[in-house]
Amino acid sequence: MSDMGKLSLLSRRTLCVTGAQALVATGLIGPAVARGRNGAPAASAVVSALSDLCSAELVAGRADAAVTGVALIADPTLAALRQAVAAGCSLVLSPETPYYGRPADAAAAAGPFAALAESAAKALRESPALEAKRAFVDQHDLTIFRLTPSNASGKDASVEAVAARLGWTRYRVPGEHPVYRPPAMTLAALVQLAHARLGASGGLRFIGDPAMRLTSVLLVPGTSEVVSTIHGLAHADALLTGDMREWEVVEYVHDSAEAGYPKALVSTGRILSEQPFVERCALALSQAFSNLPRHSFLAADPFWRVQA
Amino acid sequence: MTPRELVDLIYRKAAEVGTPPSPVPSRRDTFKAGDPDAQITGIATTGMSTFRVLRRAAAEGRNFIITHEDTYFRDNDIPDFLADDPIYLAKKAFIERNKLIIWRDHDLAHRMRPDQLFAGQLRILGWTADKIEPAPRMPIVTLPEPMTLRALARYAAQRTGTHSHRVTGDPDMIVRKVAVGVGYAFPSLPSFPDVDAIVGGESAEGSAGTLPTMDQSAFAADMTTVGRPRGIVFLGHMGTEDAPMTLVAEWLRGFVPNIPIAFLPAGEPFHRPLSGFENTLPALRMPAAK
Repeated sequence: MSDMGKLSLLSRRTLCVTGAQALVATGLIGPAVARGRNGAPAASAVVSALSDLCSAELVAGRADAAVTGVALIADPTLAALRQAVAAGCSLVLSPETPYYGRPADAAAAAGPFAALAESAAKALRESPALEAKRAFVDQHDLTIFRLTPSNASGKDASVEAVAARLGWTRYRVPGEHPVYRPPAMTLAALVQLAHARLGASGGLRFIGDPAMRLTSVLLVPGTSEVVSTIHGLAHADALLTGDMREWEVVEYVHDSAEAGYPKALVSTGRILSEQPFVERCALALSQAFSNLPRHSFLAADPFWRVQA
Repeated sequence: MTPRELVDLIYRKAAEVGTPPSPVPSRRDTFKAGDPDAQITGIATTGMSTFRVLRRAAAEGRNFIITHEDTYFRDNDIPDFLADDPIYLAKKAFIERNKLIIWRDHDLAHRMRPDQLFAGQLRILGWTADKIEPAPRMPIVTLPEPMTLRALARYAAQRTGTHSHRVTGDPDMIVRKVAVGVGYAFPSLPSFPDVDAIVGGESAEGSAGTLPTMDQSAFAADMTTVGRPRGIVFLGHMGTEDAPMTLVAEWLRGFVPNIPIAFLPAGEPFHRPLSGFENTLPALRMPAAK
């Protein structure tokens, strides 16, 4: 069982831990964090403290809103937002938007699929889920920022956070691709590590011989883009990623053994691969705002599996 | 007959059954490798022209491969980013050494009425699409008997033979109506308000896409939270667009009588789950709405 097992379960998809408890439980800090609401910072000031790690996009609310508490959520479901409000949070930070996707831009709205896009957008606007979510956000005056990991400081915070979670920080190979050389392990061991450290279970998939010996792993949290990922795989035995297209990187890795150059792939699902980045942001906020209440909502695997 | 002559014949036969050539030629449905003017020795249809499929086709003397998905790891099959990649070069060399010819049948198969992939997948699932006018591109199926999402997942996995499928939603929710997807053609849950579950291939995870591409899993979770439970069974791309290419092989046999034609399965690319990961029902249900 991973260290998530120490935390209180709030929903099938989300675990919640509070302030210092969260950071201690996830091994990010040691001592307790002081709380306080005096001199509440503005939401914009809170996200500014993360500028070395990511860019921030306002999704709901006001950037100048006073922050009573911060919820860091990898998987911003309605259930998670409810728990954030119950915990007294007015600011939600997440690598995902709670509104399921990016709004279509003007070019898409005028393109060949304009009618389809408009029809789908209308259906989403009128859906009970989106209506309930927007109403909840408005009712509780939530401010929500979407965080996109960046490498403004020359390092990808999302990659480094996953590496830290795996205990691999010191194994980074210099170069443009995020390749790590941990002690050699089998593919089966990497799959088990993805389960133990990243919480993947029902969404866990892999390609390759479980007995295959791996000495280098390319880390691509989030969704693997085909060109950069294949270029990175030239320097690694395996890819550990969140999500990928099955007619791109998946076909490439599947073909590799037949080609005589076997590679492996382990996929955890996108949300779980973003969780360490969320925790990295929680750590940065604890250092910048010692008196600001924080709550980390740890995503559980949204997928399950049952065999025929 | 040459591959070029056969492809011309395929387009003529498609027109005869109500699918005239597209006014804009398909960028996908082109020859990807080989000499289109060589003589065909045998035909293989497949969901994806993987290296393994190509080896089997060559071993069986089938030099013309009709694939639904790409050969060189990207939708446009342009290998300019692969340069001296050894995996790409090995696959390309094998194709050349065995004088294989590859043609992609993606857009035409989906333009056929009925869409050959959806028709094939419905047959595999043993379902009949509801009569709806106008017919939606992605079929809606009222199940013969309501079943739980857990039972639906088990049924779909059994019918398609998948082992790396994933499911999201409450396992005990009751499913009466299903929307069927194939490959990356994935029904949008908000667009079908009376559909309980999707049985599809693959869909973008997370919310990085531009609407209407969206995080369907999160949407299903939120619908469940507001008391309208929704579920999704992801069978994978090859869990939905591989075996349906048997329909294309059957269709070809109707007007190509003297050339051996076979469906060669690409199969699931993912390994069978390790012990302990075959059955991973969620430990706890969604919390009650507050």
